[in-house]
Amino acid sequence: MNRDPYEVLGVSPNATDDEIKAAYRKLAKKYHPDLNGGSAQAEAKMKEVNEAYTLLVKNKGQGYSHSYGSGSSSGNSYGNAGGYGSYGGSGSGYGTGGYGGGNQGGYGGDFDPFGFGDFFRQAQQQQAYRGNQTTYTEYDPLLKNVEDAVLDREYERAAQLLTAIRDRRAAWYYWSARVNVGLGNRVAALNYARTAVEMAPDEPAFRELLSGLNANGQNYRRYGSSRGFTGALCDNPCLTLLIANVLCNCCCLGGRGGAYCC
Amino acid sequence: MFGYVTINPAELGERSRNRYQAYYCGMCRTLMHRYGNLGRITLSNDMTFLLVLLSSLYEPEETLSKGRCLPHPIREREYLENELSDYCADMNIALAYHKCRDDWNDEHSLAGRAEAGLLEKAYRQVEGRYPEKCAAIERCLKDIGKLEQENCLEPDAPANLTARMLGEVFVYRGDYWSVPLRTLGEGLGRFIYLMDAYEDLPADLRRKRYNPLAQYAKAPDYETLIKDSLTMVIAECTQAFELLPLVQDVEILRNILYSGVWVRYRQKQEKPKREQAKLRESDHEQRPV
Repeated sequence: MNRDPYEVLGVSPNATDDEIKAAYRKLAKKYHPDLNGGSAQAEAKMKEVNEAYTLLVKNKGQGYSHSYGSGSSSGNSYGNAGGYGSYGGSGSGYGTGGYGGGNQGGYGGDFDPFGFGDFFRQAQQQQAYRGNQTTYTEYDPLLKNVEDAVLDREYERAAQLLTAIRDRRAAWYYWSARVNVGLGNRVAALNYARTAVEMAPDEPAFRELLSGLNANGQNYRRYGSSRGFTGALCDNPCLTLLIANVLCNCCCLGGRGGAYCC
Repeated sequence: MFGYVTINPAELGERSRNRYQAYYCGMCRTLMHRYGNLGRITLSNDMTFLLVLLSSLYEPEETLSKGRCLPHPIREREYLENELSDYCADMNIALAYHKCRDDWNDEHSLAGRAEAGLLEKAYRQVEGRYPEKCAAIERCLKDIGKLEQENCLEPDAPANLTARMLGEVFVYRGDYWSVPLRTLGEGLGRFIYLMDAYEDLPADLRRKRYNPLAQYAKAPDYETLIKDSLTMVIAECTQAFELLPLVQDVEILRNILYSGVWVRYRQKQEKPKREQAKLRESDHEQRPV
């Protein structure tokens, strides 16, 4: 793609997501091959529009920055100073593998212009390549084997190695979480990460893993409430509930409060 | 499948509410035309969601009509149908047929078996039209059944199979959008499976039935873990959803994904509170003056 995608879609760089989508639809109607008797020119134009749209929407991302990207979208020249990691795109350092390379998910023949295949797995991989921070395996040869297996993306083997370890300290839970991320086991990964943080609350890497796992969910809640939905759960139910109860207790003279969280 | 994927009417404007109702009634009518009254009783919110979603993505020409029907003989209803209605109705039959067979296998529900028997003919038709989709559904459900028999206490394995199944159903045709559509369906599949397991847990424990969360439920922070897990998987779904260039009926779709899917969960959370409140109320009444 050579032209500025904003120019292709005819929107300003400040355009909201919805404006980009509306602009896309308008152009898609105009250039859709079915409506143009299969004209090659319209087809090329449609391709350009599709690419521009994809580039904008995946980088701009409705507040859904890819939480693990750490602003490394260096390959993306279209603004967004940091915060928007690309989905396995040019900035992420492992883009070529993408999805489908031996993963059992079966994206098989699907053409994947978004390059995002499986957010969860990619998140893990980005996590894995994130600098040389402490991995808690220096003093434990058994965990070191697990780390090696994880770096080789041999998660099944890593899981077997973990099962064999009897000494289960916080680092064991941390690595169990990472292995389960690799296996696509969301509940288990979250559960292990939570336990690791509970056992060693001050370890930055543990906390980082846990907050990374929760980041999408936080974006979801934030985005939902910015759209005016209260149905999704608020971030801190206890606090909200407490405040609601206090207020109710004040104004209803100690009667029971009818207000619920969110 | 389980009625989680529906609108939250309290947070949806009237126009959109009517549109959703017209989609829903349209689905019912399509099922009726294709498979008779029997097809109609299988109508689900999940496949109505798929119809709204695919219609928004492909914007096919729609037919709006009005009429009365057996369940609503007095007030006229609006029906919205388009070329995607047939596909969604067919997938609705396929999922309903397997759900009935499952109910028979799990709980020896006679009603389940009877319904599956009656749906057999309809399902064979769907299978003839979409052999690959039906094979994928069958394979995933068979594997889930196997895990249940093995008393698998890791919810991720069956949740991921449900994800794969719904992901397959959401990819209507292999085109530019198939990857986000599949991811969207997968996230929703995980959400539905986990929510269903969570909701069924008390009853399953009472009746000593299989539930994949039985082990997790013993932990003190079980509720938080479930809430965060549900949020995590629905967030994967909406992340893919927001990549799609959707304009038509996007309020309905967002209402479902950001609000409607939580309606049953919130009802469950509020129920104990309501019961407590009731108790306190009756306490109050009985207190001597």
